[in-house]
Amino acid sequence: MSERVLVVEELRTFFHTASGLVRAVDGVSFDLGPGETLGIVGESGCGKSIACLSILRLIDPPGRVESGSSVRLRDRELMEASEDEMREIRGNEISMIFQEPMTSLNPVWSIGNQIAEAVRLHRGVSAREARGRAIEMLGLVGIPNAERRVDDYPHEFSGGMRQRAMIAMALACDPSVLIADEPTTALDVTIQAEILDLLERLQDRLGMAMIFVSHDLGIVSQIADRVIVMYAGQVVESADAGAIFSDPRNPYTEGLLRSLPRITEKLARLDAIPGTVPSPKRWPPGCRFHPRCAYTWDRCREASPPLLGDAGLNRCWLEEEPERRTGEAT
Amino acid sequence: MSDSRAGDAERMRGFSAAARLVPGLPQLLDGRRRTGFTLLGLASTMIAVLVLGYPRVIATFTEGRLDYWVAFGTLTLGLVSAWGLSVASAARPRRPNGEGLSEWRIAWREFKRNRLAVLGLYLMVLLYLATLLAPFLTPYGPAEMGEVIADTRHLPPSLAHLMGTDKFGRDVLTRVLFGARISLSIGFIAVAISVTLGTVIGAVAGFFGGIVDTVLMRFVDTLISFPRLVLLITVIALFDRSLLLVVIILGLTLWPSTARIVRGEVLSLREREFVQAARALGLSSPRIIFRHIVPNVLGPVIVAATLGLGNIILIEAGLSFLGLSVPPPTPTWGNMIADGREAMVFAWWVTTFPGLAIVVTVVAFNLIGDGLRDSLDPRLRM
Amino acid sequence: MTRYIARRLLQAIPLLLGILTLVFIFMHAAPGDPTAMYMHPSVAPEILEQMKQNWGLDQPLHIQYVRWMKSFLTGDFGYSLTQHRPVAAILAERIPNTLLLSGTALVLIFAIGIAVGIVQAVRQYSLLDNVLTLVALFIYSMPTFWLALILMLIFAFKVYQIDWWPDFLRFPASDMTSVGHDAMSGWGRFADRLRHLTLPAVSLGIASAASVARYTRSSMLEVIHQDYIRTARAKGLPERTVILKHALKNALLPIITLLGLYLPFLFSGAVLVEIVFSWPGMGRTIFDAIMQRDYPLVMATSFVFATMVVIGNLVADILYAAVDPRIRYE
Repeated sequence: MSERVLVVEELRTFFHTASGLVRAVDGVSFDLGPGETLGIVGESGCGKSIACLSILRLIDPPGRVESGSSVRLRDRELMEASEDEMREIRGNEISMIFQEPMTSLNPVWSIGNQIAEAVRLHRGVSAREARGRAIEMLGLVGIPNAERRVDDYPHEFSGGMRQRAMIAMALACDPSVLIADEPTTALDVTIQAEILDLLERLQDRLGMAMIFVSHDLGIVSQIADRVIVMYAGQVVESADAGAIFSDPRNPYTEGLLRSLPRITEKLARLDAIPGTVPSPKRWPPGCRFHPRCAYTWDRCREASPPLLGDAGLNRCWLEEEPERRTGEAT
Repeated sequence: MSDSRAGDAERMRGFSAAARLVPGLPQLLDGRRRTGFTLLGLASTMIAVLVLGYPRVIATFTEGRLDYWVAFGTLTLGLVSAWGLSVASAARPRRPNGEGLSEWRIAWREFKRNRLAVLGLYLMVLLYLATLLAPFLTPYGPAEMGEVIADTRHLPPSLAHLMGTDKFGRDVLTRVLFGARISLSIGFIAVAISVTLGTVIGAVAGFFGGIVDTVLMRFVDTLISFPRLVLLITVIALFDRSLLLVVIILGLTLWPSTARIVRGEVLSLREREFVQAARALGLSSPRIIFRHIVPNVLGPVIVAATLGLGNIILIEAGLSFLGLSVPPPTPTWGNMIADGREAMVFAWWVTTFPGLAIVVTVVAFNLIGDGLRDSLDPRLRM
Repeated sequence: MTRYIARRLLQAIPLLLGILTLVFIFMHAAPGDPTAMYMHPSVAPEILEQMKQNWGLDQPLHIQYVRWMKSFLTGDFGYSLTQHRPVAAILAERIPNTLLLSGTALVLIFAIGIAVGIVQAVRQYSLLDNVLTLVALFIYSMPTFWLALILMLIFAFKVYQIDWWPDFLRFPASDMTSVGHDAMSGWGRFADRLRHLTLPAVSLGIASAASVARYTRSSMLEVIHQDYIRTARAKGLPERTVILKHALKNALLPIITLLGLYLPFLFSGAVLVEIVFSWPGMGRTIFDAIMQRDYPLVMATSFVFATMVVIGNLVADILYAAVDPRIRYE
């Protein structure tokens, strides 16, 4: 592999609550090349948002990124950086946008102010220059009349515009990595498409690498180069976006794909994966997906499979016993 | 060997059977320490009062005064209930924690978990006991003055007078105990009046809405605009002072805040399904209000009432201090503070102790109120 | 903004009329003939006659009501029965003193309360937080007048007996100025006033400050968990900026509404504090007036008190609008 912008290894984030240990992220590894887009997919509760926040070390107690976890930005180990150093990185080298544009902007400060403060902080420029940058960024993300709207407050922006403003804020300091945590989930479908389009164009233009988190495999496959699928705090499959879509290897990924509405199959019934994500306080023994899996046999109940395979990685015993796949009941 | 062990066990059983008759001990032996100590404490307090205040307890029968009888009743009731509760709760199997509890039981369980709130509850019980038992607790009368010749005025705190004496040589502790009557009873009655009034007016305003709501709430706004003390002073000034007047006026002027709370709750309840359903069934408005809405706003009202008690005690103390509440020589905490004011520089105890009594009382009510709010508010409960 | 304020002003008008009506009712609710209220040994019969005519006390009730309203609204509060001069002239002397005392107390309440509340929220559940919570509980459970007396006992008497006690922490026990006030230099006069103001303002304000601290704490704690705080942290802002810029301004919104709610409480306290410290303000005026059965003065003073509460609420509303952009543009 060529040089990597971000390498995450064995990331573990546990919540030490009064009612027990919650293993929200349990040994996640992935990496990201320059300009690359990595999609992270999984149902809600699988730990993808926590993993993203852990990269920036934005986990509040009782949550904690456990020792042994490693996040390297180029060659710097972020898990060992001081809090001050982390602040230098947040919003500057690694930026993040969130799921809820309605609540992620501070209601009592103007949009321009909120964009400019990051610029002033990280670039050390004057208030006027920072404001200029804010206007420029708002224009870049497609807010019409940016010079005028810069002084507006969040409540004067629609949901889609707020998410654009969030993107402008995140990209104002030219970060090398942008983490987008379900950036389109809370938006209307048409606006979703606009935002995805915007992110792709901006990536072409600014060249940052991107982590795109979503529960929707369809959206991820549109925008990502590579995809990792997470289940129960672990990575269960990792492959190129095209391969995931055409040839899913993990039963969980198959399930996710089957639950997507497809226009081509007229009579297709939407198959949801049976059951729900188990509680992170007590993951099932063996393979964590086995209670919901169609192929489950004894081995799955007894031992948790490691990530197997060479082209793509798959956390499933089927990789070793492929003949069992034929018994599939579709 | 096995014989002697059996004998030991036999003796133990005999001992524990006897011990189980002592209030609180069965609970202590079962490991329910809080209940045990409470019952044991209650019983031993009562016995201590009986023993130490024996001559005055006996005087109940000769004096024939109402407050003696009240104290005597309290004493008897305290002893009987400590013993009765102990036996009754020992006989009842211990309830397993958790499953299938009613809303109120859950609230009570939550409340018991809050140490400060429980402390407040204990303080309050102690205060009321002290008030009711006052005649037995102190060898002095509230208006009993010192010797004319011997200089008993402004004596500093000592063993004979734990809180010293005032300008007439009266025992400050005795007066603090008797002053509690005014504060605690005025508080209760005034809060009862204002909470009832506030609940009804708030429920009516919230339920009917429209012009009724507008008129009532404008009236509430108007009343709230007057600083309470100013409003009270202005109204009291028009009449001749008496205990009854103060209670009624406190009750009649303090309801608006309760009304506001209840109205807010009712407005949100009104839209809920069960009230809509009751309406669809054609139930009459008063019936819906009292059967369906009032029980549901009870939680916030109880909280408001408890916090209001503390508040009303402060206000009454203020009025007393100004000489606008119950006229002397009846001791109230407020007028005692006012009395001690001129001698404050050399006899600090006369003003300090009644003030501390107010602080402790109000702290107790505030602790209970906060605890109730936390336990009755399902939004705060997880 | 202008429309919002205009609406609030319009809403205040019926409130003022209501207050006037209530005062009118008080006067007529007194046992006996309302004119009897103005019989006073020290009032010359011709003044009484003139007042009767001015207020039309011989007229039917509704005409009296209208006339009385008219005269109150034009600032004609009648004659004081005991001081033999217009009530308006007395109030003109007293109102500034009460405003000075309450204003200073208000500044103390919000400055101390907010600062303590922030500290508690940031250090939630620490020893400091618990101690401050307990201290606050005791302070707001204290009767104002008793606290005033105790503070006076300690800082205006006892400390004079302690030799090493610094002079500037010894305070006068009464009045607004010292005997030789007029002979002092400009600076000296200011210091003298400040010394006289300290104890009354502290005793008046500290209970409410404790309560503001409590509200600020819970309001801050609520705000700290909002999404936009996470956004601010993700931007790399230092914790101080996150708290003081992003959290505080939002947390202050409910605190501003407290300003309006505290005014009645504050004025109640002012009555007692003015009496304890012989402060020549409206509180003492109304008390003295009641003791001397000077009804015109009592009614006018209570009217002015209520009006000041209404005005204070207006100010709070305007402040709220100034801080919350969502209201500003409504």
